Amino acid sequence: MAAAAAEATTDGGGKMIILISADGKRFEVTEAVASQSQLISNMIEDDCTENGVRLPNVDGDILTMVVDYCNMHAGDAAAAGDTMKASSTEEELKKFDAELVQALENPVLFKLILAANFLNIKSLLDMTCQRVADMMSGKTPEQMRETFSIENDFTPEEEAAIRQENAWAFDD
Amino acid sequence: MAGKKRHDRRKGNVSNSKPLPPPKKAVEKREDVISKLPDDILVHILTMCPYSDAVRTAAVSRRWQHLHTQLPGVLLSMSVLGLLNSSLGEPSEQRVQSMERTLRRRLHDGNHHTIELLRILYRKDVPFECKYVNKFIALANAPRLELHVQCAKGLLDEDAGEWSLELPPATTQLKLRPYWYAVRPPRLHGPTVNSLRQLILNGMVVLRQEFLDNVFLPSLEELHIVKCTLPASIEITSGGMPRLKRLRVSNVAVMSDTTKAGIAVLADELTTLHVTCSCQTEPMSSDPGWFISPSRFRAVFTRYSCFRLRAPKLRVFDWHCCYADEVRVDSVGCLSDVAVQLAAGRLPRLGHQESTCLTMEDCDKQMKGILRELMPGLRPRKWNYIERKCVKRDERWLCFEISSITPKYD
Repeated sequence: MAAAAAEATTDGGGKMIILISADGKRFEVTEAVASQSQLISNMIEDDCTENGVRLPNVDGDILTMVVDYCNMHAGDAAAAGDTMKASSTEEELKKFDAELVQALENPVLFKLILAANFLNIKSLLDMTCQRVADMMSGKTPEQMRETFSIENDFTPEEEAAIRQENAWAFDD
Repeated sequence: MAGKKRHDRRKGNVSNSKPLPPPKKAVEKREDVISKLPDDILVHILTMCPYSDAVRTAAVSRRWQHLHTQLPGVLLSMSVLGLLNSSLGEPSEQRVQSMERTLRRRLHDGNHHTIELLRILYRKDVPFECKYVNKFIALANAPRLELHVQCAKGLLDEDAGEWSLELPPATTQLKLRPYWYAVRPPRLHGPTVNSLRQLILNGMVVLRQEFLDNVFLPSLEELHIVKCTLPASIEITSGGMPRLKRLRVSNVAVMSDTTKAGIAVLADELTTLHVTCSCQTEPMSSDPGWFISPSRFRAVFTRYSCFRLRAPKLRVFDWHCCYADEVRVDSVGCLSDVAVQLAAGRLPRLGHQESTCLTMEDCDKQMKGILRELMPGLRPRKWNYIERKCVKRDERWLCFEISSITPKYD
Protein backbone atom coordinates (compact mmCIF):
# COMPACT_ATOMS: atom_id res chain seq x y z
CA MET A 1 0.00 0.00 0.00
CA ALA A 2 2.81 2.38 0.95
CA ALA A 3 4.56 1.64 -2.28
CA ALA A 4 1.40 2.26 -4.26
CA ALA A 5 0.97 5.66 -2.71
CA ALA A 6 4.62 6.58 -3.15
CA GLU A 7 4.64 5.62 -6.81
CA ALA A 8 1.58 7.67 -7.63
CA THR A 9 2.25 10.14 -10.37
CA THR A 10 1.25 13.71 -10.76
CA ASP A 11 -2.26 14.01 -12.04
CA GLY A 12 -3.75 16.95 -13.83
CA GLY A 13 -0.97 19.31 -12.77
CA GLY A 14 -1.75 19.04 -9.01
CA LYS A 15 1.42 19.88 -7.13
CA MET A 16 2.90 16.92 -5.28
CA ILE A 17 4.56 16.96 -1.91
CA ILE A 18 6.47 14.26 -0.11
CA LEU A 19 5.74 13.15 3.42
CA ILE A 20 8.50 11.32 5.28
CA SER A 21 7.61 9.12 8.23
CA ALA A 22 9.68 8.60 11.37
CA ASP A 23 11.19 5.43 9.91
CA GLY A 24 12.04 7.11 6.64
CA LYS A 25 9.21 5.92 4.41
CA ARG A 26 8.27 8.42 1.73
CA PHE A 27 4.76 9.18 0.56
CA GLU A 28 4.04 11.33 -2.45
CA VAL A 29 0.66 13.01 -2.32
CA THR A 30 -1.03 15.95 -3.96
CA GLU A 31 -1.29 19.20 -2.10
CA ALA A 32 -5.04 18.81 -2.08
CA VAL A 33 -4.73 15.49 -0.29
CA ALA A 34 -2.07 16.66 2.13
CA SER A 35 -3.74 19.90 3.03
CA GLN A 36 -6.51 18.08 4.84
CA SER A 37 -3.91 18.18 7.55
CA GLN A 38 -4.08 21.67 8.98
CA LEU A 39 -0.43 21.34 9.98
CA ILE A 40 0.69 20.58 6.41
CA SER A 41 -1.75 23.09 4.97
CA ASN A 42 -0.05 25.77 7.05
CA MET A 43 3.35 24.56 5.86
CA ILE A 44 2.22 24.71 2.25
CA GLU A 45 1.08 28.26 2.82
CA ASP A 46 4.44 29.11 4.32
CA ASP A 47 6.24 27.46 1.38
CA CYS A 48 8.26 25.05 3.45
CA THR A 49 7.38 21.75 1.83
CA GLU A 50 10.05 21.89 -0.90
CA ASN A 51 12.31 19.19 0.54
CA GLY A 52 9.57 16.95 1.82
CA VAL A 53 7.77 17.11 5.13
CA ARG A 54 9.40 15.13 7.91
CA LEU A 55 6.98 13.74 10.44
CA PRO A 56 9.29 12.52 13.22
CA ASN A 57 6.53 11.17 15.42
CA VAL A 58 4.46 9.29 12.85
CA ASP A 59 5.50 5.75 11.91
CA GLY A 60 5.31 4.55 8.33
CA ASP A 61 2.49 2.08 8.92
CA ILE A 62 0.40 4.77 10.62
CA LEU A 63 1.21 7.30 7.92
CA THR A 64 0.08 4.75 5.34
CA MET A 65 -3.33 4.75 6.95
CA VAL A 66 -3.41 8.52 7.22
CA VAL A 67 -2.48 8.90 3.56
CA ASP A 68 -5.12 6.33 2.56
CA TYR A 69 -7.66 8.23 4.57
CA CYS A 70 -6.70 11.57 3.07
CA ASN A 71 -6.67 10.18 -0.46
CA MET A 72 -10.10 8.79 0.09
CA HIS A 73 -11.43 12.03 1.48
CA ALA A 74 -9.78 14.46 -0.90
CA GLY A 75 -12.38 13.72 -3.56
CA ASP A 76 -9.38 13.28 -5.82
CA ALA A 77 -9.35 9.57 -6.35
CA ALA A 78 -7.30 9.78 -9.52
CA ALA A 79 -4.12 10.50 -7.61
CA ALA A 80 -4.69 7.72 -5.13
CA GLY A 81 -3.38 4.19 -5.16
CA ASP A 82 -4.81 1.46 -7.38
CA THR A 83 -7.35 0.30 -4.82
CA MET A 84 -9.29 3.51 -5.07
CA LYS A 85 -9.76 4.15 -8.73
CA ALA A 86 -13.49 4.69 -8.57
CA SER A 87 -14.70 8.08 -7.53
CA SER A 88 -15.68 7.85 -3.92
CA THR A 89 -19.30 8.43 -3.19
CA GLU A 90 -20.49 9.37 0.25
CA GLU A 91 -21.59 5.82 0.90
CA GLU A 92 -18.24 4.41 -0.05
CA LEU A 93 -16.56 6.94 2.18
CA LYS A 94 -18.68 5.91 5.12
CA LYS A 95 -17.92 2.28 4.47
CA PHE A 96 -14.24 3.00 4.11
CA ASP A 97 -14.19 4.97 7.36
CA ALA A 98 -16.11 2.33 9.26
CA GLU A 99 -13.83 -0.44 8.03
CA LEU A 100 -10.74 1.60 8.78
CA VAL A 101 -11.54 2.16 12.44
CA GLN A 102 -13.29 -1.13 13.10
CA ALA A 103 -10.31 -3.15 11.99
CA LEU A 104 -7.80 -1.44 14.22
CA GLU A 105 -6.40 -3.02 17.33
CA ASN A 106 -6.09 -0.75 20.32
CA PRO A 107 -2.43 0.32 20.17
CA VAL A 108 -2.73 1.13 16.47
CA LEU A 109 -5.95 3.03 17.03
CA PHE A 110 -4.26 5.22 19.64
CA LYS A 111 -1.26 5.82 17.40
CA LEU A 112 -3.64 6.89 14.68
CA ILE A 113 -5.33 9.27 17.13
CA LEU A 114 -1.98 10.78 18.06
CA ALA A 115 -1.07 11.15 14.39
CA ALA A 116 -4.41 12.77 13.57
CA ASN A 117 -3.94 15.09 16.51
CA PHE A 118 -0.37 15.97 15.52
CA LEU A 119 -1.21 16.47 11.86
CA ASN A 120 -4.38 18.25 12.90
CA ILE A 121 -6.84 16.38 10.70
CA LYS A 122 -10.04 17.09 12.53
CA SER A 123 -12.30 14.61 10.76
CA LEU A 124 -9.88 11.74 11.30
CA LEU A 125 -9.33 12.72 14.92
CA ASP A 126 -13.07 12.89 15.55
CA MET A 127 -13.67 9.58 13.83
CA THR A 128 -10.99 7.72 15.76
CA CYS A 129 -11.93 9.33 19.07
CA GLN A 130 -15.54 8.43 18.40
CA ARG A 131 -14.47 4.83 17.97
CA VAL A 132 -12.84 4.90 21.41
CA ALA A 133 -15.87 6.64 22.89
CA ASP A 134 -18.08 3.90 21.44
CA MET A 135 -15.84 1.29 23.01
CA MET A 136 -16.24 3.00 26.40
CA SER A 137 -19.92 3.81 26.33
CA GLY A 138 -22.16 1.74 28.53
CA LYS A 139 -19.28 -0.10 30.17
CA THR A 140 -18.61 -0.52 33.86
CA PRO A 141 -15.20 0.62 35.15
CA GLU A 142 -14.10 -3.04 35.27
CA GLN A 143 -15.04 -3.54 31.64
CA MET A 144 -13.28 -0.32 30.67
CA ARG A 145 -10.12 -1.46 32.41
CA GLU A 146 -10.30 -4.78 30.64
CA THR A 147 -10.95 -3.23 27.22
CA PHE A 148 -8.00 -0.87 27.47
CA SER A 149 -5.68 -2.88 29.76
CA ILE A 150 -5.82 -0.20 32.42
CA GLU A 151 -4.48 -1.11 35.82
CA ASN A 152 -6.64 -0.28 38.82
CA ASP A 153 -4.41 1.69 41.16
CA PHE A 154 -7.14 2.60 43.65
CA THR A 155 -7.49 0.97 47.02
CA PRO A 156 -10.87 -0.72 47.38
CA GLU A 157 -11.88 2.04 49.82
CA GLU A 158 -10.93 4.79 47.38
CA GLU A 159 -12.85 3.18 44.57
CA ALA A 160 -15.89 2.68 46.78
CA ALA A 161 -15.77 6.35 47.76
CA ILE A 162 -15.74 7.46 44.11
CA ARG A 163 -18.62 5.17 43.28
CA GLN A 164 -20.59 6.40 46.24
CA GLU A 165 -19.94 10.04 45.49
CA ASN A 166 -21.10 9.69 41.88
CA ALA A 167 -23.65 6.99 42.56
CA TRP A 168 -26.05 8.31 39.90
CA ALA A 169 -23.58 7.49 37.15
CA PHE A 170 -23.34 3.90 38.33
CA ASP A 171 -27.09 3.17 38.31
CA ASP A 172 -28.34 0.24 36.27
CA MET B 1 7.38 -14.66 12.25
CA ALA B 2 5.72 -11.72 13.87
CA GLY B 3 2.37 -13.44 13.46
CA LYS B 4 3.58 -16.48 15.33
CA LYS B 5 4.84 -14.44 18.22
CA ARG B 6 1.59 -12.60 18.42
CA HIS B 7 -0.29 -15.84 18.54
CA ASP B 8 1.92 -17.14 21.34
CA ARG B 9 1.44 -14.00 23.33
CA ARG B 10 -2.33 -14.23 23.07
CA LYS B 11 -2.15 -17.67 24.52
CA GLY B 12 0.07 -16.27 27.25
CA ASN B 13 -2.55 -13.67 27.98
CA VAL B 14 -5.09 -16.28 28.88
CA SER B 15 -2.92 -18.43 31.09
CA ASN B 16 -1.14 -15.30 32.35
CA SER B 17 1.83 -17.23 33.73
CA LYS B 18 4.90 -17.57 31.55
CA PRO B 19 7.05 -14.42 31.47
CA LEU B 20 6.90 -12.99 27.96
CA PRO B 21 9.84 -12.62 25.65
CA PRO B 22 10.69 -9.03 24.82
CA PRO B 23 9.34 -8.56 21.25
CA LYS B 24 8.13 -4.98 20.99
CA LYS B 25 4.70 -5.67 19.57
CA ALA B 26 3.71 -8.06 22.33
CA VAL B 27 4.65 -5.60 25.04
CA GLU B 28 2.58 -2.86 23.40
CA LYS B 29 -0.53 -4.96 23.23
CA ARG B 30 -0.65 -5.49 26.98
CA GLU B 31 0.39 -1.97 27.77
CA ASP B 32 -2.14 0.58 28.88
CA VAL B 33 -1.74 2.86 25.88
CA ILE B 34 -4.90 4.87 26.27
CA SER B 35 -3.93 6.32 29.65
CA LYS B 36 -0.81 7.75 28.02
CA LEU B 37 -2.77 9.91 25.64
CA PRO B 38 -2.63 13.59 26.59
CA ASP B 39 -5.44 15.08 28.66
CA ASP B 40 -6.92 17.07 25.82
CA ILE B 41 -7.41 13.99 23.64
CA LEU B 42 -8.89 11.96 26.47
CA VAL B 43 -11.24 14.81 27.30
CA HIS B 44 -12.14 15.03 23.62
CA ILE B 45 -13.02 11.34 23.71
CA LEU B 46 -15.08 11.82 26.86
CA THR B 47 -17.08 14.61 25.24
CA MET B 48 -18.25 11.98 22.74
CA CYS B 49 -19.56 9.69 25.48
CA PRO B 50 -22.80 10.19 27.35
CA TYR B 51 -21.97 12.35 30.37
CA SER B 52 -22.76 9.55 32.84
CA ASP B 53 -20.27 7.26 31.09
CA ALA B 54 -17.65 9.99 31.29
CA VAL B 55 -18.24 10.42 35.02
CA ARG B 56 -18.03 6.66 35.47
CA THR B 57 -14.47 6.66 34.15
CA ALA B 58 -13.53 8.40 37.42
CA ALA B 59 -13.53 4.94 39.04
CA VAL B 60 -11.22 3.38 36.46
CA SER B 61 -7.89 4.59 37.77
CA ARG B 62 -6.17 7.64 39.21
CA ARG B 63 -5.26 8.80 35.72
CA TRP B 64 -8.95 8.99 34.91
CA GLN B 65 -10.31 10.16 38.22
CA HIS B 66 -10.50 13.86 37.44
CA LEU B 67 -10.59 13.91 33.65
CA HIS B 68 -14.35 14.29 33.50
CA THR B 69 -14.11 17.49 35.53
CA GLN B 70 -12.48 19.09 32.48
CA LEU B 71 -15.51 18.49 30.30
CA PRO B 72 -17.11 21.72 29.11
CA GLY B 73 -20.63 20.42 29.60
CA VAL B 74 -22.44 18.97 32.58
CA LEU B 75 -25.49 17.11 31.31
CA LEU B 76 -27.80 15.61 33.89
CA SER B 77 -31.02 13.66 33.56
CA MET B 78 -32.79 13.59 36.90
CA SER B 79 -35.56 11.32 35.68
CA VAL B 80 -37.18 10.69 32.35
CA LEU B 81 -40.90 10.24 31.75
CA GLY B 82 -41.95 7.07 30.07
CA LEU B 83 -38.60 5.36 30.32
CA LEU B 84 -39.32 1.76 31.13
CA ASN B 85 -36.83 -0.83 32.31
CA SER B 86 -34.49 1.78 33.67
CA SER B 87 -34.10 3.31 37.09
CA LEU B 88 -34.16 6.69 35.31
CA GLY B 89 -37.86 6.16 34.70
CA GLU B 90 -38.60 6.77 38.39
CA PRO B 91 -37.73 10.01 40.18
CA SER B 92 -35.23 9.41 42.98
CA GLU B 93 -34.03 11.98 45.46
CA GLN B 94 -31.00 9.83 46.28
CA ARG B 95 -29.89 9.92 42.70
CA VAL B 96 -30.31 13.66 42.49
CA GLN B 97 -28.34 14.08 45.71
CA SER B 98 -25.46 12.13 44.24
CA MET B 99 -25.59 14.42 41.20
CA GLU B 100 -25.16 17.30 43.60
CA ARG B 101 -22.08 15.62 45.07
CA THR B 102 -20.60 15.17 41.59
CA LEU B 103 -21.24 18.82 40.84
CA ARG B 104 -19.87 20.09 44.15
CA ARG B 105 -16.76 17.94 43.90
CA ARG B 106 -16.05 19.38 40.48
CA LEU B 107 -16.49 22.92 41.72
CA HIS B 108 -14.32 22.35 44.80
CA ASP B 109 -11.44 20.77 42.90
CA GLY B 110 -8.63 23.31 43.06
CA ASN B 111 -8.16 24.32 39.42
CA HIS B 112 -11.58 23.38 38.22
CA HIS B 113 -12.60 24.08 34.69
CA THR B 114 -15.56 26.36 34.19
CA ILE B 115 -18.76 24.63 33.30
CA GLU B 116 -19.59 26.04 29.88
CA LEU B 117 -22.94 24.35 29.56
CA LEU B 118 -25.32 23.04 32.16
CA ARG B 119 -28.09 20.93 30.73
CA ILE B 120 -30.67 19.39 33.00
CA LEU B 121 -33.56 17.18 32.08
CA TYR B 122 -36.14 17.01 34.84
CA ARG B 123 -39.82 16.88 35.63
CA LYS B 124 -41.87 19.90 36.55
CA ASP B 125 -44.33 17.69 38.41
CA VAL B 126 -41.67 16.32 40.77
CA PRO B 127 -41.13 19.00 43.45
CA PHE B 128 -37.74 17.82 44.74
CA GLU B 129 -36.34 17.77 41.22
CA CYS B 130 -37.40 21.40 40.76
CA LYS B 131 -35.77 22.30 44.06
CA TYR B 132 -32.45 20.73 43.10
CA VAL B 133 -32.55 22.23 39.63
CA ASN B 134 -32.52 25.71 41.15
CA LYS B 135 -29.61 24.72 43.35
CA PHE B 136 -27.62 23.20 40.48
CA ILE B 137 -28.18 26.24 38.29
CA ALA B 138 -26.82 28.55 40.97
CA LEU B 139 -23.88 26.23 41.73
CA ALA B 140 -22.79 25.65 38.15
CA ASN B 141 -23.18 29.28 37.11
CA ALA B 142 -22.73 28.25 33.50
CA PRO B 143 -22.71 30.69 30.57
CA ARG B 144 -25.05 28.37 28.73
CA LEU B 145 -28.04 26.95 30.50
CA GLU B 146 -30.36 24.42 28.95
CA LEU B 147 -33.45 23.11 30.72
CA HIS B 148 -35.45 20.24 29.33
CA VAL B 149 -38.65 20.30 31.33
CA GLN B 150 -40.97 17.34 31.25
CA CYS B 151 -44.32 17.00 32.93
CA ALA B 152 -46.76 14.14 33.27
CA LYS B 153 -49.95 14.51 31.29
CA GLY B 154 -53.33 14.62 32.98
CA LEU B 155 -52.73 17.35 35.55
CA LEU B 156 -55.72 19.47 36.49
CA ASP B 157 -56.31 21.81 33.51
CA GLU B 158 -53.06 20.48 32.08
CA ASP B 159 -51.30 23.18 34.02
CA ALA B 160 -48.32 22.66 36.29
CA GLY B 161 -48.64 26.24 37.51
CA GLU B 162 -46.49 29.31 37.55
CA TRP B 163 -42.80 29.05 38.15
CA SER B 164 -39.85 31.29 38.08
CA LEU B 165 -36.26 30.84 37.09
CA GLU B 166 -33.43 32.75 38.68
CA LEU B 167 -30.54 33.13 36.31
CA PRO B 168 -27.02 32.93 37.74
CA PRO B 169 -24.50 35.72 37.04
CA ALA B 170 -22.63 34.00 34.20
CA THR B 171 -25.57 32.90 32.09
CA THR B 172 -25.83 34.61 28.73
CA GLN B 173 -27.63 31.88 26.79
CA LEU B 174 -30.80 30.24 27.96
CA LYS B 175 -32.50 27.41 26.18
CA LEU B 176 -35.84 26.21 27.49
CA ARG B 177 -37.19 22.95 26.15
CA PRO B 178 -40.61 22.29 27.71
CA TYR B 179 -42.02 18.92 26.69
CA TRP B 180 -45.66 19.37 27.46
CA TYR B 181 -48.22 22.17 27.46
CA ALA B 182 -48.69 21.81 31.20
CA VAL B 183 -45.31 23.46 31.63
CA ARG B 184 -45.66 27.21 31.47
CA PRO B 185 -42.80 29.39 30.34
CA PRO B 186 -41.09 30.60 33.52
CA ARG B 187 -40.87 34.07 34.91
CA LEU B 188 -37.22 34.99 34.46
CA HIS B 189 -35.58 36.94 37.21
CA GLY B 190 -32.30 37.59 38.97
CA PRO B 191 -29.92 40.50 38.54
CA THR B 192 -28.29 38.94 35.51
CA VAL B 193 -31.40 38.79 33.40
CA ASN B 194 -29.77 42.04 32.28
CA SER B 195 -26.93 40.22 30.57
CA LEU B 196 -28.90 37.52 28.80
CA ARG B 197 -27.93 37.60 25.11
CA GLN B 198 -29.78 34.65 23.67
CA LEU B 199 -33.10 33.12 24.63
CA ILE B 200 -34.55 30.05 23.01
CA LEU B 201 -37.99 28.83 23.91
CA ASN B 202 -38.47 25.60 22.03
CA GLY B 203 -41.22 23.22 22.91
CA MET B 204 -44.84 22.44 23.29
CA VAL B 205 -45.82 25.26 25.51
CA VAL B 206 -48.58 27.85 25.59
CA LEU B 207 -47.02 31.23 25.01
CA ARG B 208 -48.86 34.23 26.39
CA GLN B 209 -48.00 37.86 26.20
CA GLU B 210 -47.26 37.94 29.93
CA PHE B 211 -44.10 35.89 29.40
CA LEU B 212 -42.79 38.65 27.18
CA ASP B 213 -44.11 41.46 29.36
CA ASN B 214 -42.88 40.16 32.68
CA VAL B 215 -39.24 40.63 31.99
CA PHE B 216 -37.01 43.37 30.68
CA LEU B 217 -34.10 41.93 28.71
CA PRO B 218 -31.84 44.86 27.92
CA SER B 219 -29.01 42.78 26.37
CA LEU B 220 -31.02 40.22 24.48
CA GLU B 221 -29.86 40.01 20.87
CA GLU B 222 -31.36 36.76 19.75
CA LEU B 223 -34.76 35.27 20.42
CA HIS B 224 -36.11 31.99 19.10
CA ILE B 225 -39.71 30.99 19.64
CA VAL B 226 -40.21 27.48 18.37
CA LYS B 227 -43.17 25.07 18.41
CA CYS B 228 -45.10 27.15 20.92
CA THR B 229 -48.84 27.71 20.74
CA LEU B 230 -50.53 31.09 20.84
CA PRO B 231 -53.91 31.42 22.55
CA ALA B 232 -53.94 35.14 21.68
CA SER B 233 -51.81 37.71 19.90
CA ILE B 234 -48.27 38.45 21.03
CA GLU B 235 -46.10 41.49 20.61
CA ILE B 236 -42.33 41.40 20.57
CA THR B 237 -41.17 44.95 21.13
CA SER B 238 -38.16 47.11 21.78
CA GLY B 239 -39.81 48.03 25.03
CA GLY B 240 -38.92 44.65 26.50
CA MET B 241 -35.89 43.81 24.32
CA PRO B 242 -34.28 47.02 23.10
CA ARG B 243 -31.23 45.28 21.54
CA LEU B 244 -33.03 42.48 19.75
CA LYS B 245 -31.22 41.82 16.45
CA ARG B 246 -32.28 38.36 15.40
CA LEU B 247 -35.68 36.78 15.74
CA ARG B 248 -36.80 33.35 14.70
CA VAL B 249 -40.44 32.35 14.94
CA SER B 250 -40.64 28.74 13.91
CA ASN B 251 -43.57 26.34 13.81
CA VAL B 252 -45.56 28.51 16.16
CA ALA B 253 -49.19 27.41 16.07
CA VAL B 254 -52.41 28.98 17.21
CA MET B 255 -54.49 27.25 19.85
CA SER B 256 -57.58 26.31 17.84
CA ASP B 257 -59.05 26.86 14.41
CA THR B 258 -61.13 29.73 15.76
CA THR B 259 -58.26 31.41 17.61
CA LYS B 260 -57.56 34.87 16.27
CA ALA B 261 -53.92 35.32 17.14
CA GLY B 262 -51.41 37.55 15.42
CA ILE B 263 -47.77 38.38 15.87
CA ALA B 264 -46.43 41.91 16.05
CA VAL B 265 -42.71 42.56 15.86
CA LEU B 266 -41.89 46.13 16.72
CA ALA B 267 -38.15 46.09 17.16
CA ASP B 268 -35.92 49.06 16.39
CA GLU B 269 -32.63 47.13 16.18
CA LEU B 270 -33.86 43.99 14.46
CA THR B 271 -31.77 42.99 11.44
CA THR B 272 -32.83 39.41 10.80
CA LEU B 273 -36.26 37.86 10.87
CA HIS B 274 -37.24 34.28 10.14
CA VAL B 275 -40.90 33.33 10.25
CA THR B 276 -41.19 29.72 9.25
CA CYS B 277 -43.69 26.92 9.50
CA SER B 278 -43.20 23.37 8.42
CA CYS B 279 -45.21 23.05 5.23
CA GLN B 280 -48.78 22.61 6.35
CA THR B 281 -50.32 21.61 3.07
CA GLU B 282 -50.27 18.38 1.12
CA PRO B 283 -50.18 18.21 -2.66
CA MET B 284 -53.60 18.62 -4.29
CA SER B 285 -53.35 15.13 -5.68
CA SER B 286 -53.02 13.67 -2.18
CA ASP B 287 -55.58 11.29 -0.80
CA PRO B 288 -58.54 13.36 0.38
CA GLY B 289 -59.17 10.99 3.27
CA TRP B 290 -56.21 12.40 5.13
CA PHE B 291 -56.77 13.32 8.74
CA ILE B 292 -54.95 13.85 11.96
CA SER B 293 -56.03 13.50 15.55
CA PRO B 294 -57.27 16.69 17.22
CA SER B 295 -55.19 18.45 19.83
CA ARG B 296 -56.46 20.66 22.59
CA PHE B 297 -53.46 22.87 22.15
CA ARG B 298 -52.87 23.20 18.46
CA ALA B 299 -55.11 24.21 15.61
CA VAL B 300 -55.21 21.75 12.77
CA PHE B 301 -54.14 24.53 10.44
CA THR B 302 -52.36 27.65 11.65
CA ARG B 303 -53.24 30.96 10.13
CA TYR B 304 -52.17 34.09 11.98
CA SER B 305 -54.82 36.79 12.07
CA CYS B 306 -52.19 39.43 11.44
CA PHE B 307 -48.45 39.76 11.13
CA ARG B 308 -47.20 43.23 11.79
CA LEU B 309 -43.63 44.34 11.41
CA ARG B 310 -41.86 47.52 12.33
CA ALA B 311 -38.13 47.00 12.07
CA PRO B 312 -36.40 49.99 10.52
CA LYS B 313 -33.01 48.21 10.41
CA LEU B 314 -34.22 44.90 9.03
CA ARG B 315 -31.98 43.44 6.32
CA VAL B 316 -32.99 39.80 6.18
CA PHE B 317 -36.60 38.75 5.80
CA ASP B 318 -37.39 35.06 5.52
CA TRP B 319 -40.95 33.81 5.40
CA HIS B 320 -41.59 30.16 4.84
CA CYS B 321 -44.96 28.46 4.54
CA CYS B 322 -46.76 30.56 7.13
CA TYR B 323 -50.13 32.09 6.41
CA ALA B 324 -51.51 35.32 7.76
CA ASP B 325 -54.81 37.00 6.99
CA GLU B 326 -52.94 40.25 6.88
CA VAL B 327 -49.27 41.17 6.67
CA ARG B 328 -48.54 44.75 7.58
CA VAL B 329 -45.13 46.30 7.40
CA ASP B 330 -44.70 49.71 8.98
CA SER B 331 -41.01 49.89 8.22
CA VAL B 332 -38.02 47.81 7.21
CA GLY B 333 -34.40 48.69 6.46
CA CYS B 334 -32.74 48.26 3.10
CA LEU B 335 -33.29 44.55 2.63
CA SER B 336 -30.29 42.51 1.52
CA ASP B 337 -31.93 39.11 1.59
CA VAL B 338 -35.56 38.26 1.10
CA ALA B 339 -37.11 34.88 0.77
CA VAL B 340 -40.83 34.27 0.69
CA GLN B 341 -42.03 30.75 0.07
CA LEU B 342 -45.62 29.65 0.02
CA ALA B 343 -47.14 26.29 -0.74
CA ALA B 344 -50.61 25.72 -2.09
CA GLY B 345 -52.38 22.47 -1.51
CA ARG B 346 -54.78 20.49 0.53
CA LEU B 347 -55.13 21.60 4.12
CA PRO B 348 -54.91 19.22 7.03
CA ARG B 349 -58.29 18.40 8.50
CA LEU B 350 -59.98 16.20 11.02
CA GLY B 351 -61.88 13.13 9.94
CA HIS B 352 -65.32 14.73 10.00
CA GLN B 353 -64.33 17.97 8.28
CA GLU B 354 -64.70 18.88 4.65
CA SER B 355 -61.52 18.76 2.67
CA THR B 356 -60.33 22.28 1.90
CA CYS B 357 -57.53 23.74 -0.11
CA LEU B 358 -55.23 26.65 -0.16
CA THR B 359 -55.32 27.61 -3.81
CA MET B 360 -52.60 29.15 -5.90
CA GLU B 361 -54.76 32.30 -6.01
CA ASP B 362 -54.65 32.47 -2.20
CA CYS B 363 -50.88 32.13 -2.35
CA ASP B 364 -50.63 34.77 -5.05
CA LYS B 365 -52.60 37.15 -2.91
CA GLN B 366 -50.48 36.47 0.13
CA MET B 367 -47.26 36.85 -1.85
CA LYS B 368 -48.35 40.11 -3.45
CA GLY B 369 -49.44 41.41 -0.08
CA ILE B 370 -46.10 40.61 1.51
CA LEU B 371 -44.01 42.00 -1.36
CA ARG B 372 -46.09 45.15 -1.58
CA GLU B 373 -45.53 45.75 2.11
CA LEU B 374 -41.81 45.04 1.81
CA MET B 375 -41.42 47.32 -1.21
CA PRO B 376 -39.96 50.29 0.72
CA GLY B 377 -37.07 48.00 1.70
CA LEU B 378 -36.59 46.69 -1.81
CA ARG B 379 -35.98 50.03 -3.44
CA PRO B 380 -34.19 52.14 -4.28
CA ARG B 381 -31.91 49.36 -5.34
CA LYS B 382 -29.50 48.94 -8.19
CA TRP B 383 -30.07 45.62 -9.80
CA ASN B 384 -26.41 44.98 -10.40
CA TYR B 385 -26.00 44.55 -6.66
CA ILE B 386 -28.33 41.63 -6.75
CA GLU B 387 -26.43 38.41 -6.69
CA ARG B 388 -29.31 36.06 -7.04
CA LYS B 389 -32.91 36.41 -7.72
CA CYS B 390 -35.33 33.65 -8.12
CA VAL B 391 -39.01 33.44 -8.75
CA LYS B 392 -40.40 29.99 -8.77
CA ARG B 393 -43.90 29.06 -9.57
CA ASP B 394 -45.36 25.65 -10.24
CA GLU B 395 -48.64 24.04 -9.36
CA ARG B 396 -47.70 23.92 -5.69
CA TRP B 397 -44.93 26.36 -4.86
CA LEU B 398 -44.65 30.08 -5.10
CA CYS B 399 -41.27 31.41 -4.15
CA PHE B 400 -39.50 34.71 -4.34
CA GLU B 401 -35.89 35.16 -3.36
CA ILE B 402 -33.32 37.90 -3.48
CA SER B 403 -29.87 37.89 -2.05
CA SER B 404 -27.50 40.74 -2.63
CA ILE B 405 -23.76 40.98 -2.70
CA THR B 406 -23.70 43.80 -0.20
CA PRO B 407 -22.16 42.68 3.09
CA LYS B 408 -24.61 41.20 5.52
CA TYR B 409 -24.74 42.68 8.95
CA ASP B 410 -26.08 39.64 10.64
